This record gives sequence, structure tokens and C-alpha cells, in this order.
Amino acid sequence: MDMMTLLIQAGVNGLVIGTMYALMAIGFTLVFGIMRVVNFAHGEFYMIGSFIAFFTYAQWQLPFVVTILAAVLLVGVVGALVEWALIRPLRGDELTGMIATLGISVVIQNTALMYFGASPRPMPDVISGLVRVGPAVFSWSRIFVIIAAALVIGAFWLFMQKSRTGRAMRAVAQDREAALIQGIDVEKIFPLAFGISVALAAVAGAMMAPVFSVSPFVGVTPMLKAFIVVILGGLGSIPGAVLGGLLLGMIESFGATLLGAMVADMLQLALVIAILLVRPSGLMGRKEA
Amino acid sequence: MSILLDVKDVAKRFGGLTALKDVTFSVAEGEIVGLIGPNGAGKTTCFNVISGTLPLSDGRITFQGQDIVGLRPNRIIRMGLARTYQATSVFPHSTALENVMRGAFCRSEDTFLGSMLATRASREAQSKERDRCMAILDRVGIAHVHDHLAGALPYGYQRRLGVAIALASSPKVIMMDEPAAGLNPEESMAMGQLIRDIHTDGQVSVLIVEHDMKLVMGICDRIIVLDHGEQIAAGSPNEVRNNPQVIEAYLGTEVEA
Amino acid sequence: MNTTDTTVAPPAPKSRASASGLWTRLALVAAACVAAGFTPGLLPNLFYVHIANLTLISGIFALSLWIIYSVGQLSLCHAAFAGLGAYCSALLSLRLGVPPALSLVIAGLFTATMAALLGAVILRLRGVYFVLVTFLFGQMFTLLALNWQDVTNGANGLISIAPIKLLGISFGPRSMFFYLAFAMFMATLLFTWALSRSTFGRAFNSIEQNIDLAESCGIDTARFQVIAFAIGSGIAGVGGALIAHYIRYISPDTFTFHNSVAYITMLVVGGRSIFWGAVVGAAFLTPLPEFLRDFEGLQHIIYGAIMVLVLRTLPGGLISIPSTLRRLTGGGK
Repeated sequence: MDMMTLLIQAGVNGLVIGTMYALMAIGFTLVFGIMRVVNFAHGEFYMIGSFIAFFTYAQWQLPFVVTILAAVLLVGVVGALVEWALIRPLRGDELTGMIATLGISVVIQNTALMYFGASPRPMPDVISGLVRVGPAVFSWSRIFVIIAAALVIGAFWLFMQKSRTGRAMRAVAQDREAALIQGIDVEKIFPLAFGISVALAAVAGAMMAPVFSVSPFVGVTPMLKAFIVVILGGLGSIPGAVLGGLLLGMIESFGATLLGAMVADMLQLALVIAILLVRPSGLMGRKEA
Repeated sequence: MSILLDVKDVAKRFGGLTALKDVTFSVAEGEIVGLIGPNGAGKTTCFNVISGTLPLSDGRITFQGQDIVGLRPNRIIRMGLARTYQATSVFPHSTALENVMRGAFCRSEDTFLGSMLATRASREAQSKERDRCMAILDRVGIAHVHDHLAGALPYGYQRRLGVAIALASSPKVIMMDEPAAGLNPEESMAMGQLIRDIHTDGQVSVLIVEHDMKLVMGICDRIIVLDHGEQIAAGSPNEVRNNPQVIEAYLGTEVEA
Repeated sequence: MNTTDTTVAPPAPKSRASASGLWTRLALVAAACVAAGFTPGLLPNLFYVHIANLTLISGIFALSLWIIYSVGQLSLCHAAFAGLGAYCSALLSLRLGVPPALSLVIAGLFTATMAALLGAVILRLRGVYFVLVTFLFGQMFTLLALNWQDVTNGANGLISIAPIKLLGISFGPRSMFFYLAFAMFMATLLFTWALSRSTFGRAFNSIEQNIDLAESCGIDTARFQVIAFAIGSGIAGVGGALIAHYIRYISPDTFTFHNSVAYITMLVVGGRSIFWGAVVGAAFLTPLPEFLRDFEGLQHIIYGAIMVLVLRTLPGGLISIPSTLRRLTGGGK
């Protein structure tokens, strides 16, 4: 394979993981923007999504659309319940809310470990076959992930821009007091936002299940990446999450191709710490008050 | 009268926005100087720049002849320039007395090692400090609640506690950011009296930002007026009161008060 | 004075009277030492001694984390600093033949220095931003330990690390190590206690309660935050080195993000307001999973559940139980 092919391949791979990171980061940043809670359990909902995909699609042979819908609905409702039961009472203080999500994460991950065991399970592709673009060859399944993720992100963006609820969420994220004065029921927005946030993570998990495998630990890396993305893009900024996700995907893919995976990983972390120090609010974030 | 705080041609820009421009004034020993202006005139920004909380964009600030630009707030306070905050600002989970003792942190004779080992010298230093801080609490009129948690004190007391904390650092100049904000007329008058007392008994100069015109006109020797970040007038209360530019800036509403 | 100031809350309960309190505490320390002297002999078997040792080391970690928390910062890389100290001490003794008793001290100083350097840069971040950076730093440590094969031996870790020897006595055996762990724990406890009531402790607490006002009181908040971070992380480094010379085997898995979370859990469950909470949390939570070993997997779930439950029902942690009970029984005072 010549250099050109390698680079094109790296670009497509970068898009695949980039869109996935973006999906993860959007939800993560949404919850932080609206509720001021750093959700350490975000990756576990990704993991639940991938298990839902495994059971509905690989085991029970349901159509993949049903899989996605099941992931969204199930995880969304569970997320809203978690917010209502566990996070709501602790939201007052940023650190306490965050510690609670650490606890929730431990519980979810180890429950999955107890029931499903640690060994990874492979999952069949949703679409088989290969595409040929010039000298490069890709599997349809990767292209499918990119398109599906783009559609989900687009739908989410429309929801935030056009729907009443979406606009209410943005208002709350911008200024809670002002939103209250405008008659927005903040208490209803919170569980909704949390539900949507973790549902997005579950969608990412379901779509990536065929690409990676399925195990109780699959959520750890995406969550770490979501952190990095959100710091890159600015905590609370949704466009920042999308751009940061794509950027990180590309950096990672090209970095791994050119420098090796280990160096790429270390570079990422160093880059993020550097950005935080130079521009604590991220590349596209608002200044903290 | 020697000049303590000297502010010259100070400017502060946030991005493209000019918050302060060519602000020049001074505070001399034994003076009470008022800094007034409509909302958003840049008064609090001015305070933040002087106290070192915000970096300034241009100009020169000296305190007792020493350049204080670029110094961190804690250094400036140790030089003798204290401040209070617009909102109530106390250590909520400590008692009122402990609050004041924290204000005296930079004047304490207690040492790290001494306090680690609880030596006699350390205990004596602490008890001396406690007495001094009790006296300060007494001066601001809340000695009777010295063992209450600051966060649980009524609003008016918390404001006074804020003043006490600033006083504990034995300042030469104390900058007060709207000390009467949120107080009722009675409390406001008492606060005015308190400021006057601090000034005469304690030999402390005062730079005060305040909306309550009655209070400002009543206690200040000189007044500086800011509008949209620019200094539009300076002089005695009477001069300022009759300055047409000032009246225009306020649209003739508050100045008559 | 005026009309609105009529509702004055009851005064806070009187706290410690210094001189007499000191003697009571010294007596308590002496009693604890005497009790500790008999402990290894009284425990039914070595497994219990092992758990006691782990608990004491956890206590060191939780206390040192509390020191960082006492300036209002939550560190998610506490285990990474423990690991840094462990690798430092282990490598010194394995490669250079430095006596473990000395390498332990060097490891502590080295970790504290690293923390001070890192802290000087990252401590200007507050709240969740600081937490996120410490999290990422912890990840970097794990990656480095895994991948810097030449030095760390990667995922295989370092084996046959020498036990600590002091004055000809080897603290390798579990029941001997207990005395060393106990001494180190007591030293940490007394140090933390003295620190919390020293001028530094007052500065730390002022920063925790209101950082802007603390700065306005002439407290150099940036400097004190770095000091607290360096002291806390340095002690964690010593704790990590203790583990290395006790278990005599370390790998990147010994000091993961989950360990950092476990220390935070101890702090939360025990109570964050005062350092005793860290001790209570460590004493309560360290033995727990060891006794739940039979229920594979369940131990971590219980850990997490206890943390959430305590946050939800007892925000002050276990040490707030007495005062909560007093309030519930209607004492009111």
C-alpha cells in the first residue's frame, strides 16, 4: 500500500471514530452545560447501548433500526430516572454531583461484569461488502457508521434549534435564572436533558458495537475521549463537541498511522492539558464567570 | 497630607470593549473619597484593577509611592490596601471571630512551625490576635455574635463582618464596594456612621463605591464620577452635585436624592 | 441594632480548648499505640493482619487526599502519585540498590516535587476543570507505566522488590509490616492534625470556604494550593512506596483511576469536613471488599452503592452520624 492509500484510509477511520466521539461528547457537554454536572457514568451508558445492540441485533436478529430505537428509548428512560432519583438531590454542588456519577459508574459497570462476564463478544456487521474509492478500499459498515452518526447529530441539532424543548434547553444552559423567569420548567428540563444525553451515548455504543466488540469495559475509552473532546471544544459548547470530536478522531487516526498508537495517545493527553492551560474555556467555550 | 493611593491614566479593555479609560485620581491620608456613576460605569472594574484582581491594560497605580501594577491581590493587601466586596463575602462555615482572625492572617505573629507544634509563643500570639479581632468586631458593632457561624448571620451583620475582615489587615486605605447595597435606610445610615468612625478613630482613608447618594454626599470629602468608563467629573460633593455633565449622566434622577 | 436583624441563629458549638485538648489527644495516641502493639497477636490469622495493613495504608491515602481537598480541590490522580512514588522507590532499590528505608523517603520527596511542578501549572484551574486535568494526568501515568517498557517493565510490572529493613529488622513479614504501617499511619494522622490547626491549615480552610476573600485577606492562595497539593501527593507517594515494598510487586494495575475513585469514596463516606472523616472512611471501606471476596463482582457494586447512598442520605459522611442523631432525637443544641 502506498502512502496515499494509507492516508485516505486514515481519513475514513478518523471520520468513523470522530463522529462517534462527537456523539459521546455532545451528550456529555449537554449535561454539563445545563446541569453543571460532570457525568463520569457517561461511558457506561455507551456500554449499555452496545449490549442492547448485541442482544437485539446479534442474538434476536431484530432489524438494526429497532436496535437503535430500543437503545434510545431504554437508555433515555433509565437516564431520566437516574437523574431524578440520584443526581437531582445532589446537584447543588458541582463536586458532589460529580462524585455521585462516579458511584453510579462503578455500580453499572460491575453489574454488567457480574451478569455478562469480562470476555468481549464479537458482533456482526450491519452492512457487509466493500467500497472502492480510487486505490483505497473501505467496508460499507464504516461508511454506514459515519452516515448514521451524521444523521443522528443532524437530528439532534434540529431538535435543539427548532423545537420548543430544545430551545428551552439552550435557554437553561445559557442562564438558568433568566430561563426560570421566562417560565421554563427547569425541573422538567433536567431529567429530559440527562435522558437525551445518555441516549446519544447509547446510540454511539450501538453503532460502534460491530466495529469494536461488546464487553462491560467498552465504555471506558469513549468516555475518556469524550472528556478530551469536551475540553478541546469547551465544556458546555455543542458545536465545540462536534468539531472537537472530529478533530480528535482525525488526530488520533493520522497520529496512529504516522507515529504509532502509543505516541498518539500520549500526545493527545499532553495536547489537552496544554489547551486547558492556555485557554481554560476550550477552543469554542464561553468564559466561565 | 500625603498621597497614599495614586491612580494615573488607568485603562481597562475587555477584548474590544473599553471598560475604563484615562481614570486618574488619588486618595490622600485621612480622606474619604467617593467613586460614583450610573450602572455599568466601571466602578467595580476600577476596584478590581486597583486591588489586582484584574490586570490593567494601561496606566500606572502606586500605593505609598510603590508601583503595585501586576502584583497579586494578596501582596497589595499586605501593603495596606484592603477591600470589601459588593456582595456579602464571608467564610460561611467559620464563626464571626474566626472570620476576622482570617482577615488578620497577614498581620499574624504566629508562625507555621509554632502553630504546628502548638508552642506557647504560638498560643500567645493567637490569644493576642483574638483580643485584637474581638475589639474590631466590637468596633463594627457585632461583638455579641462573635461565636455565631458567619453564614448564619443576618444580612446586615454579614456586611459589617465584611468590613471587620478588611479592617483586621490593619489597612491604611480601605476600598469599599457598595457597603450599603441591600441595606434599608436605617441600616444604611448606621453603615455611614460606621465608615466615619473607622475613618476618624482608625486613621484609615476610605475609597468608596456607592449608589446611595445620601450616604456618599454625607461622608465623602471628594467625589469622582465615572460614566461609561470615563471620568467625567471630580471635586467636592457640592461641585459634583451641580456639575451639568453629572446631572446629564444620571438624567437628573438620583443626584437630588 | 435594627429591625431586620432580629433573627440570630444559635451560636456554633464551642470547639476545642487548646491546652487540655492536647493532653487528651496525646493520651488517645498513646492508647492507640498500646492497642496496636497487641493487634497482630490478637488477630485470628495472617489474612486479618494483611487487611489491617491495607487499611492503614488506605488511611494514609485518604488522609493525604483530604489535605488536597482541604483547599477545595478534588484530585483524581491520587493513585497516579501513589504509583509514581511506588515505581520511584521500587526502581531505586531494584536498579541502584538503594536501601528501601531511604528510597521510601526519596520517593516521597520526588513525588512531592512532581506534584508541586504540576500543581504550579494546573492549580489555577478550579472545580471540575481541575478534576478533569487530574483525571487526564492519571490516564497519562497509566499509559506511561504500560508503555515505557525499559523502565517500568510494562504490564508485567516489577517483581521481587526488597522489603523495608530498618536497624536490622526486616518489615517484610505481614505481622512485622503492621508495626511499620501503623507508625507511618500515626505519623500521617498526627501531621495532618497539626497541619489542619496550623497557620497553613487556616489558610487552606480559608481558601476552601471562599478563595477570593482569602486572597483579599492577604493569603497567597496560589502558593498555598500548590503546597497542599504537593504535601498531599507527596504523602501518597510514600504510601505507594510502602505498598511496593510490602506486596513486593507493582504493575500499572496497582494504581489505576479506580483506586483514585476508591480514595475519594473513603473521603465522601467518612466525611469531608474534617480529617477524621478520611480515617473513618478508610477503616470502614478497606476491609469491606476483602470480606466480600466470596461474592465476586458484588464488592465493587456495594462500594459504589454505598457511596451514592451516603451522599444521598448522609452528606456529612459517617462522622456526622452522632450530630445527625442528636438533631433527630430533638436535642436541638
